[in-house]
Formats: sequence, C-alpha cells, structure tokens
Amino acid sequence: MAELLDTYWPIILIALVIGIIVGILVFRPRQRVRLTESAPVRPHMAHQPDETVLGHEASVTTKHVLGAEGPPGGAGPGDDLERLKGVGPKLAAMLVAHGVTRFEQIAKLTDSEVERLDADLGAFRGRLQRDRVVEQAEYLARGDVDGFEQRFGKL
Amino acid sequence: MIPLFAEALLMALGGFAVGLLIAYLVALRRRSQL
Repeated sequence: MAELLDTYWPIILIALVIGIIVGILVFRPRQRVRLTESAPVRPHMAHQPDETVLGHEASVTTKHVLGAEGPPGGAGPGDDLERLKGVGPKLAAMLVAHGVTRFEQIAKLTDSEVERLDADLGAFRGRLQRDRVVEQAEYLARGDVDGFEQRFGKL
Repeated sequence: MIPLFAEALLMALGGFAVGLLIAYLVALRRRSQL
C-alpha cells in the first residue's frame, strides 16, 4: 500500500484536488426558497371566490383604464383576438385583461380610448395604431372576411 | 497482477472519491452551522 502511494502520489493528489473542486461545486449551499401557504397575502393576491383571477384583474384594470366599466359589448363569449394581424397571444391576453374580448368592442373604441388603452400595453405600445387593429376589428366585427383579406391579407 | 494503467486509474479514482467526500463533509458542516 505504501509502495502504491509512493508511486502514485502525484496522481492521487491531482485527483483529490479535482474531487474537492467538483464536490464543492456539487454540494455548495444553495439559496433555498420555501413557498408556504402561510405566506403573507397582499390585497391583490387575495382569493376571489366568485371569479377567476384573470377576470378580477380584467375588471380592475378595465376600470383603471377605461373609467367605470370596460368598453361595452364585453359580455358573451369572446372572439379570437389573435386573428387580428399583429396581435399575438401576449397582446391578446393583455387586451382580454383590459376587458376587451370581442372585435366589436375594439371597433367601437374612440380615438381617446384607443390612446388610453395603448398607453397601458407596455411593450406593445403603438401596436394598435401601427397595425390598424381598430380598422381590422371593424371588418371582423361585421364578419366581412373578404374585405378584411383584401385590405390586410389572408386570415 | 493488475496492469499499470489500471493501478494508476484506481489510485486516481480513490483520490477523487476522497476529495468528493471531504467536500461533502465540509458542506454538511457548513450547512449545520447556518
């Protein structure tokens, strides 16, 4: 045994150092975050029993952006807002969160309402004007797919 | 007799294992001190 150690001590030493380095990397203490039910709940995180969180957010934000209520005509099943050119899943979700779920609502937005809504769209600011979303929505609200496709391209 | 390279490999592996063990024990001690 002593003979082996005598012969291979440089190799053993190098392996030892490598082992320690690897061990330190593997076993280093990590910051552990524990999520518990007893975490303090902030007012906006409070559970809303009657409505979904998104629904609640939508109504709150709608009131904030568009006054007392959202644009009229929001009731009933929503349209697929992603059919509008320039509106992807994220922007569509944002619009829904602002109480805008139907093409009809977008079509009926006044210029000032569009501006107010636009100011709240963060990274998508200016998108409504640039992609003429209101104009697109007018076509789709009427169900004028041919007219839409002529102006904006295939759906 | 074990071939020479196998002998060296075993020694290196042993060293590596001991190093790993040392690091683990150090981490364990540090964790219990926290």
